[in-house]
Amino acid sequence: MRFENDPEMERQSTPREEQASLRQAQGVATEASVAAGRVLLHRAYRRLFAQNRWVLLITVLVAAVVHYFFFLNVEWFVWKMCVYAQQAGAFLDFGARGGSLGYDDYMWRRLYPLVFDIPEFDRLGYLIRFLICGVIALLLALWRGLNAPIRLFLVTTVLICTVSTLYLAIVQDLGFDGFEISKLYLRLVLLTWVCLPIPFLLLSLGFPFNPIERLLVTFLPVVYDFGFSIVRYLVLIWLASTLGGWAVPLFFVIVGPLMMVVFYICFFSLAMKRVADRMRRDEVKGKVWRL
Amino acid sequence: MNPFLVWILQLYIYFVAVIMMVYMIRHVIFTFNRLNKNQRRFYHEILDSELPPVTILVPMHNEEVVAEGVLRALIESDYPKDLMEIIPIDDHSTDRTEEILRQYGERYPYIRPLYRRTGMRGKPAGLNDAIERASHEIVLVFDADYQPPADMVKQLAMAFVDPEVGAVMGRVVPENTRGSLLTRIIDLERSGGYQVDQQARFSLNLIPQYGGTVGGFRKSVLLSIGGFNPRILAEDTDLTYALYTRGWQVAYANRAECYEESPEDWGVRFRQVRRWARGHTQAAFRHFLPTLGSKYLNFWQKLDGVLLLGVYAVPTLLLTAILCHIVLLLSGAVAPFTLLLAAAFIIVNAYGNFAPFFEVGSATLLDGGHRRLWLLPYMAFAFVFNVWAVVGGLKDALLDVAREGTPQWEKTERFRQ
Repeated sequence: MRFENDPEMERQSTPREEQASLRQAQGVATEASVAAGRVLLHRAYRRLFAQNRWVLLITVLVAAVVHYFFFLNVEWFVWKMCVYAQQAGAFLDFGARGGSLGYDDYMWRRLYPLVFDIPEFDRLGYLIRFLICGVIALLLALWRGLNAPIRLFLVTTVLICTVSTLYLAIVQDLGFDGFEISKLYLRLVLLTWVCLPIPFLLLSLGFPFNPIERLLVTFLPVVYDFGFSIVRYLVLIWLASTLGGWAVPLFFVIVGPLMMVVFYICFFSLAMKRVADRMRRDEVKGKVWRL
Repeated sequence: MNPFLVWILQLYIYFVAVIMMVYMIRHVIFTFNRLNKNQRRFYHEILDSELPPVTILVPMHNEEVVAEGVLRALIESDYPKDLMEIIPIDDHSTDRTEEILRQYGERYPYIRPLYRRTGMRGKPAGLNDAIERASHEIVLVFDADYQPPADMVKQLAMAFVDPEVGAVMGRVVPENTRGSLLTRIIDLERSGGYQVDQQARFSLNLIPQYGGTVGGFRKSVLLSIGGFNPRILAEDTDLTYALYTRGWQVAYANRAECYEESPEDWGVRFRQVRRWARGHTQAAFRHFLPTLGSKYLNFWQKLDGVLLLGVYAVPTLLLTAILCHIVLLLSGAVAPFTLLLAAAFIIVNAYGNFAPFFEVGSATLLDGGHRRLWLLPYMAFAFVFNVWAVVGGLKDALLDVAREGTPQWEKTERFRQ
C-alpha cells in the first residue's frame, strides 16, 4: 500500500464513491455529502446540482460568436428561403403569380419578398364567406364527437375568419396587397431567427445539458425553422392567393404562431426528455439532485 | 382607418405585450429558483413537538361515491384521535351521503357530521356553519374526493406552531392519472402549479396561495374577518388575500402530498376551470386595491399578489389583443411594421405562451417525470381550451357584479368506480 503509514492521505486520494463503498463495507457511517449522493432525495425540496460556471461561460461565449456570424449573414439565409419557396411554389403551381421577387429594407438588411396576387371580393362576396364561416364555427362547436381542446382550437380558428370576413364586409377595403403581406412575413421571419436563439440559450442554462447539447438546443430550432419557414410561406401564399385577404389574419394570428409555439414546445419536450432519461440513469450514482 | 384608432389599438397591443412579458419573466424566475436555488423548508423538523388539537372539515354535496374514501383515510391518520374532531358537512345532499355519514358518526365518536338542509347551499356557506361547531382553534379542510395520507394532518397542523401563520396549504397530486388524456394533462398542470409555482412563491417569501382543498387556517382569524363570503366562489383566494392584507402568512407544504380525483371528462373540466376563473375574478375585484395599499406587504409581495389576482384576466387580454391585430392587419395599419410592434407580436403570440410550458416541463423533471414530457405539446391545445373556459368565467364574474346576486355553487362530478 502506497499510503500504508498515512491513512488520511490515502483517504484523500481515493475517489469519493470508492470511499463511500469502503466505509459502508466497514460498517462506518458515510460522510453526509457522499451519503447525499447515494440517497434518493424526496422530490419536495430537491434541486439540480450546480453546473460548472466556466463551462457555462465558455458555451455562452461560443453561442454568442456563432449567433453574431449568423446575424451578419442572416440576409443570405432569408434570401435563400425565399428562393426555395419560389421554386417550391412554381413546382406546386400555386401562388406567386409571375414568380418575381421584390425587395424591402428592414433592420439594415435587404429582404426579397415574393410578389403574388390576392383576390378581392365585393360586399356580397364577403357576406357569403362570413355566413359560411359562421355556420362552420357553429357546427364545430356542436360536434361533440371531436376531442374538446381540438374542437375549441378549430372553432377559434374559424371564428378568426368569421371576424375577418365581417370586418371586410363592413369596411370593404383590404389594406394590403400580396407584396405588403409577403414583406410582413419576411420581417417576422428575420426577427424570429435573430431573437429565437437568445431565449433558448437562456432557458437552457437552467438544465444540466452538456455544451454540445446546449448549443444544439440554442441553434437547432433556427435550423429547423429555416425549412419550416418555407412551408409556412407556401401556406401563407396559398391561403392569400386562393382564399383571399380575409384568410391572412388566420395565418398571422393563429396558425403561424401556434405552429411556431407547438414546434418550440415539441423541441423543448424532446430536450427535456433527453435530460430526464440521463438523470434517471445517473440518479443512483448521485450528482443529480441536492438539497 | 382613423389614425387615432390605429394609435389606440397599437397602444393596447403594446400594453398586452408588456403584461405578457411580465408574466413570462415571473414564470422564468419561479422556475429557475425552483430548479437551482436552496428551497425554503416547511415545518417538518418539528414534527415531534406537542401536537395541537384540530378540527377537520369535509364539505360534501352528493358525494356518495367518495365520502367513505376520505373518511376512511382520515380515520387511518396517525394523528391522536383524542386531539382530532372530524366534521363532514352534508350540504343539501340528495343521494346516500347522509346515510354514510350517519354510519360513520355512530361508529366513531370523533366524527360529528353536520347536516345542512336549510339556508344557502355552497362550500363557503357550509364551511361557515361548520366552523361555528368546531371545537378547536386549528381547522383543516379537505375536499371530499381527497385521499389524505396517514401523516397529512400532522404535517399541516405543525405549521401553526409559527404564530405568524394564518393558513397552510399542502400539495395536490392527481391520483387517477391513468384515467384519460385529460387527467394526464391535469397532472402536468398541477405539477407546474405546485412543484414550481407554489414552492417558489413560498421560497421567495411572496404570496403562496391557500387552496381550500387540502389546507387549514386558524378559526379565530377566520371569524375575525367575518368568515367565508358565500357570494365568492373562490373562498380560498379570498381568504389568502384577507390574511395577507392583515399581516398573516400562508405556509406551503410541498412535502404534504394529498391525492385528488381529477375530472375525466372535458365538459366537467371546462365547468371547473370556468368556476375557478369566476371565483378568482370575484376575489380580484375585492382585493386588488387593498393588496396595493396594504402596509403589511412589501413591494415584491404586492407585485406578486397583483399578478396572481390578475392571472385569469390574461387570456381575455390575449384574445382582445388578437382581435386588435386582426383589425390592424386588415386595415393595413401593420404594413409599416415597426420593430417594436413586431416584437410585441412575437412576445404575445409565441414566447408569452411558451413560458408556462417551460415551468411545467421543469416541474415534471423535478418530480422525476419521464414519459409524461411527451405530452407537453398537446398542452398547447389544452391552453386554447383553458382560454375559453377562463373567458367564460370572467364573463360570469362581470355579470355577478352587474346583478349583485349570489352565484349558484356548481359541484364537480366524480368519476371514482
